[in-house]
Amino acid sequence: MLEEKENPNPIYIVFDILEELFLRLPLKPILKFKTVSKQWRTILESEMFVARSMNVKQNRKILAAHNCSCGYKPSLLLESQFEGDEEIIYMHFDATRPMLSCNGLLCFPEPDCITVLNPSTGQNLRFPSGQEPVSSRFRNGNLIFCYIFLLHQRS
Amino acid sequence: MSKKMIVLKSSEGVSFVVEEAVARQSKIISFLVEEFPDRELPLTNMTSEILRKTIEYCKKHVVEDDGGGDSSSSSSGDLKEWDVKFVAEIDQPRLMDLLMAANYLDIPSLLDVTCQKVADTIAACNDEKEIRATFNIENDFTEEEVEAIRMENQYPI
Repeated sequence: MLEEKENPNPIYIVFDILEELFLRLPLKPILKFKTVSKQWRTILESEMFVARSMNVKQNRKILAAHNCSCGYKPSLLLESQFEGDEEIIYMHFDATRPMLSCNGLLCFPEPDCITVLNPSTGQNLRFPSGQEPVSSRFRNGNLIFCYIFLLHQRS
Repeated sequence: MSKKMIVLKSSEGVSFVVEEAVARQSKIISFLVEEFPDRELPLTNMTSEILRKTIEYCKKHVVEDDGGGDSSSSSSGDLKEWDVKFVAEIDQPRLMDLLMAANYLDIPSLLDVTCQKVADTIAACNDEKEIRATFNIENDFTEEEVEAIRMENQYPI
């Protein structure tokens, strides 16, 4: 904190330029950018920025899932691999469990919660699920998922 | 045909005489030249140092359209290499000033290279503390807020 204040060359970056900068950043380590300051977070989570960054990132991403019954929750492996312009992201999950996908997001309904995973950013949101029995929850699965997707669009 | 020259004045009042074709890469200057021909253009928010750098960039990138033999435009590969070297030699605070100048003068290609260089610098930082220190950004989050963002973004393990 102190040393930041003593910096003799304060740099002020205007809002528009920050957005230009962020568009050139890799999406993966987005967490460390979001926690820099409220201004940074606001831009990174704005609808405008999300829309623009989707247009900029042209690299095709391939999600490679490998089945494992170890019981751990679905997760992305941190290392991804580049083959030319294509990025391959590896995911570990239990293929016997249901999985839904929509617009590049993945949704995993589980007994106690619903996990939504964005393979591009690694962002992972968990929502508590209701107390209905499993069968009715799956019947509503699409509905819940659309709702979650709207949330994502906004965040 | 003699080249038309225009005069740009820095915040310190230093005048720079530049070929019009060079200066016209800035959309703002291009506009001003048409509106106010034969006038000195004061750039009061730009130091001589930054203005000199900006002109250096524009001179390198000018595209001669009169087909003259002394064309200073180079092949795109060479130009790219030159751009990388150009921004690599500038220290962080000056790079930010140059970025702001490119933004203000509306020179898209210079804005692009400076933005990319700053973005690379941000991406190379290990954590948010290093980013804050590098760019002198005040941390206006509480511990709890940071924790909440972390929870939302964590990689599941």
